[in-house]
Amino acid sequence: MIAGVCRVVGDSMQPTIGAEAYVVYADLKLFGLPVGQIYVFRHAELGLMVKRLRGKNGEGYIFVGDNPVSIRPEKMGLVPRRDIKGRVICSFAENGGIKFHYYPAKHFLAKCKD
Amino acid sequence: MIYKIFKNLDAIFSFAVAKAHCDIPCKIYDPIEAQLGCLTIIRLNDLLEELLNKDLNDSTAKGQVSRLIAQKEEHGVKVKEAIRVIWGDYFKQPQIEQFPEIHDLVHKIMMQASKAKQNVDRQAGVDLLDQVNKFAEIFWKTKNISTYSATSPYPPNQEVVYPDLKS
Repeated sequence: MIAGVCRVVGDSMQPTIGAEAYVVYADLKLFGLPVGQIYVFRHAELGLMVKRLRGKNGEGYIFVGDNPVSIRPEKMGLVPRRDIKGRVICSFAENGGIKFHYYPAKHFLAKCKD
Repeated sequence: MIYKIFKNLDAIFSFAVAKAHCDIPCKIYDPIEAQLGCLTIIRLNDLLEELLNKDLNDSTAKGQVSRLIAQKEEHGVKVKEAIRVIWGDYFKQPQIEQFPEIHDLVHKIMMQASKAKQNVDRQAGVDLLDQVNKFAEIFWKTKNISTYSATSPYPPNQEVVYPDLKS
């Protein structure tokens, strides 16, 4: 799927994305997987998850939550590239708040500079 | 507005659920782990005081003191971790609104647990248990479960808040 919407359960992405928020994501792997961005991915045991990309090692990607008490990356293990569903574009909070997590224009300009 | 549109669409199309759990979503929370940690700290203080009154020239006694101190340190960390997990994962807006003092209490527990780790100080452990008992009382109240206090049926025989699961 190129893009999708999912509902977030849990607080590990607080304060950036709260529980019960809806996130819109898009498969932008074509443009790379920048570290520090938020992604939706499928974990072999835990199912579909939303976390921030902390880094990459040879075999897979390391994700963490924004909440300090979030599940530790060493407990979650590495996520293979094929299981990354997409990058979170924006989120819609239960209190009506809207956050944009990805700015295509900014991304495009950064690419042009490269 | 947009959120409501998504919510209505969700009701029709059932969007996928992305987990952002702070830990494995087992929903098993119980402050007893922290309470047992406090009891252990008090008990270890008692054992340390007994040992420290003896002649510590004996290498076996020295080794035992080191071991007890290491255990006391470890249980201090366990208390902090257990309380942090319940506070961070279980307490949500409704529980916080019901008990706004929870943040202050958790901070006091963190500080007191550090104090209990620092020295061989029984009273610091007793004070920590007192605060963790208050936390346990609040925790069970959020679940509409009444509590009672009873002396632990094992050393150090301190008052512990238990949930009254039969009521």
